Formats: sequence, C-alpha cells, structure tokens
Amino acid sequence: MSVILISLIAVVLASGCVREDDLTGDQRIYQLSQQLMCPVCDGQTLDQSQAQLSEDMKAVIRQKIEDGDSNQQIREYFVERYGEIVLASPDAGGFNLIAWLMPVVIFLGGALLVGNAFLNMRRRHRFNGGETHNSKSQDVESVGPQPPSDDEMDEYLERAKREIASAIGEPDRVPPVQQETQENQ
Amino acid sequence: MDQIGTIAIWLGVAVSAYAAVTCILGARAGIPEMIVSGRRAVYMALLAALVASVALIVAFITNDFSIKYVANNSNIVMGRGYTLVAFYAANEGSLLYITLALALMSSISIRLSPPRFSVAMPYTIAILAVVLAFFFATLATLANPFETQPIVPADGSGINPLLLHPGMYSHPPLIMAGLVGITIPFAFASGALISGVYGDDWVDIARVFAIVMWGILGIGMLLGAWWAYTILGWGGYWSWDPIENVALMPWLVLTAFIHSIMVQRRRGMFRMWNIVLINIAFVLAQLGMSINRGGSVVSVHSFAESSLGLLFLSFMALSLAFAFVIFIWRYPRLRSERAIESFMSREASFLVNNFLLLVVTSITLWGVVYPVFSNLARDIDVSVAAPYFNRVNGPVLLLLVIVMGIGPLLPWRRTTTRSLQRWLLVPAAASSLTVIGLVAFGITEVWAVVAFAAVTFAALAVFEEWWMGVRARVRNLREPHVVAFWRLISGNRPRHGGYIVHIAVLSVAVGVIGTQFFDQRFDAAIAEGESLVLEDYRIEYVDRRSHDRPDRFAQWARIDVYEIDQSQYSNEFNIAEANGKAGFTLTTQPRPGDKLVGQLEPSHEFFRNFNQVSVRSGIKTNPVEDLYVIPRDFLQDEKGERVSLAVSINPLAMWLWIAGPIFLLGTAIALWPHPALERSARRRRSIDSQIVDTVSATMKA
Repeated sequence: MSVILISLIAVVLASGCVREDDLTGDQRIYQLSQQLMCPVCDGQTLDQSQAQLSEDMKAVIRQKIEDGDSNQQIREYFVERYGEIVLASPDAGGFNLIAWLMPVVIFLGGALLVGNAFLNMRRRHRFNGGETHNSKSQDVESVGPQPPSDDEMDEYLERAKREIASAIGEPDRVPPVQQETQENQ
Repeated sequence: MDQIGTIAIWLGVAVSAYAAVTCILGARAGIPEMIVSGRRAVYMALLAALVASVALIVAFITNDFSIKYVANNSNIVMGRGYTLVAFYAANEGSLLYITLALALMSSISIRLSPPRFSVAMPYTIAILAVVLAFFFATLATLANPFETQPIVPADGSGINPLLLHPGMYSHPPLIMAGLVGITIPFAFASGALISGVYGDDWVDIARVFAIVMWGILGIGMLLGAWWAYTILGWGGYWSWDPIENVALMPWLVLTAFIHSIMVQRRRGMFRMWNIVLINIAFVLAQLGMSINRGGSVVSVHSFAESSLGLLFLSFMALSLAFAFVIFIWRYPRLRSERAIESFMSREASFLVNNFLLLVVTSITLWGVVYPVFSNLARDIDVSVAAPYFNRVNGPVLLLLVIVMGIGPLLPWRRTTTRSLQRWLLVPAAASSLTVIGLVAFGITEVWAVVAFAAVTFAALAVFEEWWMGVRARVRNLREPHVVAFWRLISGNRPRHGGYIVHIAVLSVAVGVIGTQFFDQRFDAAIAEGESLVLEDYRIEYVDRRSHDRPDRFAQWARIDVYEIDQSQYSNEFNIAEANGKAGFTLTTQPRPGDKLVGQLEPSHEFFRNFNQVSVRSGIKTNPVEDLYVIPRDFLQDEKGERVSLAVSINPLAMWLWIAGPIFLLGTAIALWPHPALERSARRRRSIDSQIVDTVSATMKA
C-alpha cells in the first residue's frame, strides 16, 4: 500500500514542476500582479487594487514581458523605483533571509519541545508503572476507567470533607464544593 | 443625547471599577454580600453600555450633527438601515460596540456560571470588570463618541462607501464580538487559578464560551471572505492582510484550546497547557484589537484608525504580565494526573494538532511583525503579503489536514498497529484512488494533488467512523439507518459536532485548493456587442446602464454568458495560445453550440466625496467553478465606448461558502447541552482532583 502511495507521489512530483517559460504572457502578468504591491493602496497587491497606478504598473509589466525580461528582472525594476516595500513577499536573501528562516526555526523548535514533552510523559508513565485499571477493550468509545457510581462518589466526597474539616479543627466549616450555595443565585 | 451618553459612559466606569474592587475585597474578607453586590454591578455596567448605545443610535436617527462622530459617519441621504453600521463604522463607535458586547457576554456568563464554580467566581467577575473598566475609561477620556463640536454642520460627511453592504451587518460586529469575547474563557481560567480551586470545573464553562467565541469568529471571518469576494472585487477572499491575520491567530489558538480541553475533560491531562493556551488566545485577541485601533501596520481595513493602538498595546502587555504571574504562582499545583502512554493515541494526536496550530499562529504572527522588525532593524520598509503566507503556512496547513484525518481514528490511551491499520485502510485506499484519478485527468500540480489526497483521507476518516457507528447500531439495536445516525450524533454531541466542523473545514480546503491552484484569468476591454472568450465561456457585453446620484456615479455592465463548444472556436484558441493569451476577444457572431446560461450585471460605482471606487462582481456559480466578472472601468477613448473586464474562472469556489452552514451546524451540535454526558464527564474525573479542590477551599474558608 505505502509502496504504491510513495511511487505515485514520486511520479506526480517528477511531472509537476511548472517553470516560468511554460506560462503564457497573460499568466505571467497575473502572477506578477499578485507578487507586487500597489504603492498607493494600503496593503493591496496590484491584482486586488482598483487604483490607476496599478493599471499603469500592469501595463509596464506587459511591456517588459514583451521585451523579454524575466520575472526577476521585472521585480528588480520595480524595487529600484519604489523600494523593497513593493514586493508582496521579501526576496529570500540578505537580511530578509531571516523572514524565511524563522518559520523553519519555529517548526523545528516547536517539534523539539513537543517531542521532548512527549518523551518525558512517556518516561513518567513508565515510572509509575502504567495505569492499573484494565484496558482490554480497544473500542474507541469505551476506553478508560469506569466512573464510580453516584452513590460511591458522594459518599467518598462526604467522608473526605468530614476528615479534612476535622483535621483543621473546624468541623462545621464544610466548604461549598458540589453544593448549591445561596451566594451564587 | 450627548449628555445622556457621556453620563452613561462615566457610570459604566464607576460601576465596573466598583465591581472589580468589591469582588476582590469580598472574596478576601469572606463577605458574600459584597460579592453579590459586585456581581450586580456588572449587570449595571451592561445597563450603562446599553443606555449609551441607544443614545448614539438615537443621535444617528435624529441626524444630530452637533455630535462629531455622527457628523463624520453619516449624512442625511444615508439609508436609515445603515444607522447600525454607522454605529461601529469608526473608532469611537466601534469601541462602544465592543464594550456593549463584552458587558452583555460577561453578564450572561456570570448568570450561567454553575454553583459549583462559586469559590472562583469573585475573581472571574473582577477580571471581567477590570477589562470593562478599561474600555469604559478609554471611551470616557480618549474616544468619546458623544464629543460635541461647536459649529454644527448642515449635513454630515457620510459613511465610508465600502461599508455600504449588507455584509457589514454581520462581518465586523461578529469579529469584534468574537475577539473581545475571548476575555470570558480567560476570566474563568484565571479566576479558577487565583482562587486556587481549579480542579477541572473551569474547563466546562470555559469550553462553552470558548466554542461560542470560536464559532462567532469563524463565521465572522468566513462572511468577511465572502464579502471581499463578492463586493470588494478582489477576486480573492483571503489576502493575509494584518487585520485578517489578527482575527485568525486567536481563532487558531482557540481551535487548539477546544481540542486540548477535551483531553483535560476526559483524561485530566494538559492542565497547564490549557491555561497557557487560553492566555495566548486572550493576549492575541488584545493584539488584534490594538492593531485594529491603528498604528504600526498597514492594512486595507483601516476603518477604525486612531492613536489608541499604543494604549491597547500597553493593556495587552499588562494582561500578558498578569497571566504570566498568576501562572507561575500556581504552576506547582497544575500537575496532570496522568501521562501520555503511547504516540498512537488520541491524546498524542491532540498534542500534534496543538503543535501545528501554534506553528501556524507563530509563523503568521512573525509575518505580521516582520515589517515592523525590518523597519526598526535596518530602516527599510518591506511588505509581507499573501505570497509569503501561502508558501510558509501552506505546508503546515496541509499537515494539519492529514492529522485531522488520523486523529479521530486513534482511540484514547493507546492502540495496536493492527487495529490502526484496519481503520486506516479505507481512507488510505480512497486517497490513493483520488491521486490516481487526478493524475489520470491530467492534473499535475504536485501540491494540489497531495492536498486533495489529504482532504479525501480526512473526510473518509470521518465518514468511516459514522458508517461503522451506524452499522453497529443497525445490527445490534435494529434501528433504521436514519434513526441510528441521529442517535449516534446526539449520543456524543461534542464529538460528532466536532466531526461536522471537520467536514466544514475540509470544504473550505477544497475551495482553497481549487482557487489557489487552478484559477484562470483574462483581462480585456470590449465594446458593446463584442465578446470575450475564456475556456468554456463566451461573455457578451450587451450594454451599459448608468445612474447619477448625489453621492455617487453608478454604472452597470449587462452581460450575457454563453457556454460554448470549444471546437467551434479552435482557430481563435490556437491563435491566442500562440500569443500567450489565456483567452481572446471577438465580434459577436453566435456559432453552433453556443448556449445562453445566464446574465450578469456587475457594477462599478464612483463615490465623489471619498474619491473611491467600489465594484460589485458578477458571479455565475456552480459546484465545479465560478465565472467571476469584475468591471474594472468604463472607457471612453478613440476606440469608442468600452468596458474593461477582468474575468476569471475560480474552480470549486462555491465550497468555501457551503462550509459556512456546515460549520454553524457542527458548532451548534457541539454546544448542544447533554446533561447526562456532562455529569458522567465530571464523575469520570478522578476523585483526587475533587479532593484537591476540597482541601484548597477549606484552607481558604
């Protein structure tokens, strides 16, 4: 089963890469207009904005594609004119490498923390010798300890409260756990 | 009106401050009457917020332009229906709305809190009251919506045109209420922590309110997406804008929380972690409100812009410090009763789910702050928008979908490899079939194929479980299938409600994959009587209508949509392809096979006062794809009168919106109370935790 899956994924991976020159001119304009910000609109890409400037910029892109510029050259052209802020996502290089590396660091760091926490818990579980109640059933619904009956529970709690109260020497001050209290109505 | 409003706001300051002080003093001194009084003061705060809100609405209805806020956000021609929208259209009013929402939800939650939670209640009330007092005080001093102006204008300047849409009744108020509402589960968690009675009881009530806020935020975001898609003419529905992100982040953390508290309810584990999660959600919600108030980040949502961003940021820092201190203070007592036994268990899958959700949250937060960071570090402004987030969050979200499929298949505690294999068989087979099918259909986008396979897997995991449950009931109890399904769902509502929400999330995933990977786009200007062809559609521009109003100039393009037989147009398609075009234009001459399938009337409105364009797209939708038409502009030039159209085909977009009702249904079922189940869940908790509560309560008494 897994062999089939892996080989399928491999086939798909091998066949699936789209390169810039596979795209039509229109597709490249569309692609670039999603990668460039409209300089006069708050937080909108060329593709989203209704501003005249972004129409003009798209016309420039069309011209440059016809002149044979690559996407990277066109991006650089706009960066020169408007600064880095015109790119919808920073290029992965120089200082901006931090922007791209941080997600990887977050993922790996988190994975390390969670893995560690998990191993600790496992160790603690083993140290405690596992839980004692039976778990012969693998059924999803009914795993876990059977709850004590209401009567057992109430009796047990009642006794616990009495013992605690007498232990601290104030037998009549039973705390309001599990009781309807006037105060909250 | 302005005086009534201002007085009500100051009263709100007084009663909420009073509530906070009396509750804490009452709890410390052990005087129940003070706590009762403090609780009632919160109801008074609700009354104060209500009075102020009614006063503002009356001011809008009576066109009281002596009040600055009214003059700035409405005018005489504004439809009365939009009074409510104008109410929260800008900073001051939206703050009043937030205060009202928090006061209302606080009162409800206090009213509904179960008696067994009474020891912790004073602290919970105090926390709610402090937050309320903060909002009231900000309203009273820095952002009073009732501020008057000496010169009363004859007419107001009108509401922002982007807000003139029925979607405005739902999207912004839901998001604001959802964000501020996270205060409630936070207050219950912190109240329990401070009081020292934090067994597991706070989780029950925090769960209810966390799910409510989570549902509100989720639906709010979905409506916002729908609104952006239909009205703003972006063609998109989610652009990873900072304001969208700050609503998404608390939602993601709440998602982690409502999964993780299941483990606490069921197995008494993850106690510390759940407190941490609700604290993070609360702080992120504060961050959201702070960014909403303007300041450090650039966003399309700059409606409520003001100088209050910094104040809210300080309040967030205070909340963070507060949460941190009480957590450290109570840390030693927050031990879990049990530990995870096996990596192949429901508990472990929740751990992975929490990890992935927090990774997406952290990465998103990083993307939001990176421009600020870059500016501070090297004085260069950068943008971080959709391309970044799609690339870094996409793979993690894909992993989440896969975990969403595996998690429900794993039983609590541990399982055997054999039993897991048995359960995995059907979903794995189905997703392999999906891959084969897609590749056979010639779809070669790797990520899309993998994503569709993951979605199939997760969906089949849920359906398999439902099918097995129904089959068992039919076989053993001789119930008809429908009845069996109904009883299965209502027998464990939190769980099956959750599965229904999973289906909704998968529906969104289908829409996202379709629109992200397979959208087609063609822009062209055509004259009346000309057509534009893209894929299977011919779009004929019939004519233009226009309407000149005092505040705007509105134009509509009437468009006929035909489905075509591509072979009739093979010549044109070949030329277009040779020229690198996605589509082509032509003078209309109906050819055989053309079939009229619909008419669209997208509009383009120019608002003079605001110098702003607002477009409404024309959408022809079906489950397979949307034909989406935006009139970019109406041109008058040497070629005559033309309309510049942006036409796209957005595959599977409808599934984004189908998710909405499913999401609501699932959330409602998860919330649908089930007293017997609740009782047994409480009893299931070990006696130890109740003893701990009893001891600590006695020590206090």
